Amino acid sequence: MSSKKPLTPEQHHARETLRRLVYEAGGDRCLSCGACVDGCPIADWNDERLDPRRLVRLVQNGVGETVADQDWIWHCTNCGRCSWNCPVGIDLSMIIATARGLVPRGDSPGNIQRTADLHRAVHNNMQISPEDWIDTVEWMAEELEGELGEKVEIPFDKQDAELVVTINSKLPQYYPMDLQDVFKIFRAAGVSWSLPRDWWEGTNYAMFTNDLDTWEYTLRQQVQKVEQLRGKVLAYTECGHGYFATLSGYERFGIEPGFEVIHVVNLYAKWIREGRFKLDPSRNPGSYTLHDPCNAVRKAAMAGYPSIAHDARYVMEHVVQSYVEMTPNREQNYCCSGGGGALLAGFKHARNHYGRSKVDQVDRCEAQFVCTPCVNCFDGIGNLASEYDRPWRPIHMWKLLARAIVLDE
Amino acid sequence: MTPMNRSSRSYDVAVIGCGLAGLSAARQCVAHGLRTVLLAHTPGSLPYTSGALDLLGVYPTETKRFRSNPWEALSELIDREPTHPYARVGLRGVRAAIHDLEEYLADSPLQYRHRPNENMAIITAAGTVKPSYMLPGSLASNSLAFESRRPTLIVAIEGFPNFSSEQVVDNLRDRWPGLRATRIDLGQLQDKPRRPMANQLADELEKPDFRARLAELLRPSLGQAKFLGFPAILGHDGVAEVCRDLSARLDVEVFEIPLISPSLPGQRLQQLMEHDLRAAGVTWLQGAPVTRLEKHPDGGLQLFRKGKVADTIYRADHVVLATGRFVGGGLEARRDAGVCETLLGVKIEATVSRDDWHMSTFLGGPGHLINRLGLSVDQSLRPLKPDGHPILPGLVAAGGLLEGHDWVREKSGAGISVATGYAAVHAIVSSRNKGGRGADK
Repeated sequence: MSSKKPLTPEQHHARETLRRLVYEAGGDRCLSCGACVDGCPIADWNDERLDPRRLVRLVQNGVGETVADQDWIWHCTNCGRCSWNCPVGIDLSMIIATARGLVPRGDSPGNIQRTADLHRAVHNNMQISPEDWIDTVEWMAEELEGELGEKVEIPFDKQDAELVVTINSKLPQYYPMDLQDVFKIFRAAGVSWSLPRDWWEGTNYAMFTNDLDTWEYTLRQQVQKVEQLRGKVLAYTECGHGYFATLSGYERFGIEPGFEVIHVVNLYAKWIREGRFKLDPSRNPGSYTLHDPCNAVRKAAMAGYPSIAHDARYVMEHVVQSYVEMTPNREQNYCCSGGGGALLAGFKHARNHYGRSKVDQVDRCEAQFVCTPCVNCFDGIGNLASEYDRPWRPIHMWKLLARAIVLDE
Repeated sequence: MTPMNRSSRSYDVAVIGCGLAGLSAARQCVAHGLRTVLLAHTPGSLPYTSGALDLLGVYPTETKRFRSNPWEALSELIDREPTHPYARVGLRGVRAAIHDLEEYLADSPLQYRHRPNENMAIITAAGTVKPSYMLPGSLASNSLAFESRRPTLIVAIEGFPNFSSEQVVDNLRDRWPGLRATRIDLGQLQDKPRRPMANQLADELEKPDFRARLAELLRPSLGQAKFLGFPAILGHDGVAEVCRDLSARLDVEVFEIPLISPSLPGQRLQQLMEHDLRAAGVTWLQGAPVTRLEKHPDGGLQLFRKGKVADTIYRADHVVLATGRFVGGGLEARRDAGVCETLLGVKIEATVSRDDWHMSTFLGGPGHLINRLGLSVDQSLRPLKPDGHPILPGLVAAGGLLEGHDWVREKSGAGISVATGYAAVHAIVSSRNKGGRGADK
């Protein structure tokens, strides 16, 4: 490699952007101590020596533009464990996220950018048409009617509701039955809620390619929708990155919505505290552990947003018979292996390799089910169980809560 | 935009920093039933430390003499150095603080041990010997091995960069003829070998079947060994069981040798205390720095925790400042203003010019003056302005940040943090009992 070759304008931009960012992130205080890499489940993948210290040194030594050319910025699941553990407070995952944004959109691996583009173009990731959305929801409402023996009205675009609800598009696409659980919970809580006909998507993959334009556009569209409905609270569905992308996006883009954003797990806990449900934990037999989603726990805590760590445990205590912690947990938890868009990035072997830290910790706690209050983590854990041929299974928190709710006859 | 309302961000005490000083202060807040929030930018200094808790190992520092009785040395220090943090707290206060921690940690899963009036010696990864006062179980065995000088095997792990058994043995052989080194390849025990890193190795060691295979791998090398020393990777909070199990399988006493960062014995202690404080109801906010501290308009103090764009404000009657020294971020050496405390921007009133901060010899003599610079406090650990008045009502400080000590050379870092963290909260409690609630006075 010749150092004489002049940089392209893009390379120059990358070099300068990262240099500035590393400086602002406190990179000049890096002691090379290794606290970042020591807890990183990805660091030993394929001898690539993915090492956050290396990232800092490349930038400091004036070859930061080479960072954007390396696959390891995509192997990284942006879980933020390195940032959390850094003794001098360098936000390494922010540096990686920014490096991703320096890759031309067309060159980002796998389907992350395609997913973000769909979100922008058709307002959800899965190309679900407005008709399909309404059909699917009404079909599930009918199924729920069968279970409850009473009429279930879905409050589509209801004005002035207390809560406007987001839904991760994987539900209508792949797990439509789960919509029944969600609807059952909101009904049983006795709250006024509204389900948007449009811009209901509860994810935001543009964050993972650092496509700021799409990230901001999709957030502003959703804000406009919620404000049109005059909702007081945006109840964010069980999707960690969607929750984090929403709150951090509002800050980053200076969006000041006329409503509050609350993660549904914090709402579940609030409703249980208020005595809104009659719960029977024996309806969830077996042993359960909890997976802390990185975005709604560690990254939320670091950014100063409400974390779900405490409330998720409170809910678990009330809805299952037997609960065990896996260690490490809360802000020290390991990624499900599917974070940062990894499930869409196409590096399956890397993902399965670093998922071993997760497999090990689930094995150690000997639970039969792993509650994943995040759709992405649900898929990440499910994938690990099948790749490693493990008996444990992921389960959503809404499933556990909906099953435990006893409705009066 | 958060579901918390403002009143839920109001506390009796806010502790800033989660090193040993901040953690000790938070423990005392819990003991006194104070509503407490702990704010920390990073995991603090403990993951950097050996997990061995020093009280006073060397005194006077220029003699470099190891002291066998730390309390005797401490009395001398308090007599001679009135601005030393130990002197601020006083002998009785230090004793009470250390005793409180002894009881807590002895009953913990880490099984800390101490001898009432005696420092113990442990061997380090560099093959040196270090005096310390309280040791977790795995390091207490290290000390026993060194004291007995019985036949001992030191084990290194192929590919693990932070530890060389050969180095340990080379440096100690003269004093310990029965010391031998070996090196093992853990790759052959794993389905898919991983690059050895401390935390991942600890994950493996927590598994009984892995330990069974490890024991068989080591058995042929044992020879006459009565002790078996590993780098400090023997599990996380299950370290006591890992040591017990390996010892039983091989009929030796297994011990750990502390490493440079990341250091599991320090990390275990940090995690134990964090876990217990959270369980006791302390609000734990880690990951973002506190950027401002000032009087609250309605009384007490307010501090600003940095958000990605907007800061969050917390109110507290009292604040314990335990932000550490230069690496921790509590002190900063500024080109224009000299050494400053970072949060309040207080200039440290040094009587020396910049040229005198350092000596020409790195390790010799009485020690570099810069190491003794720090925040001036009174007997109640209230930071003082140059005119001798408290900087802010309701504010106390603890830990390495304080002036008048040289913890690295004294081997006193843990003791200073524990004693001042304890005393700072006791000062808060006595001012509350007198009706003082921060800035309303």
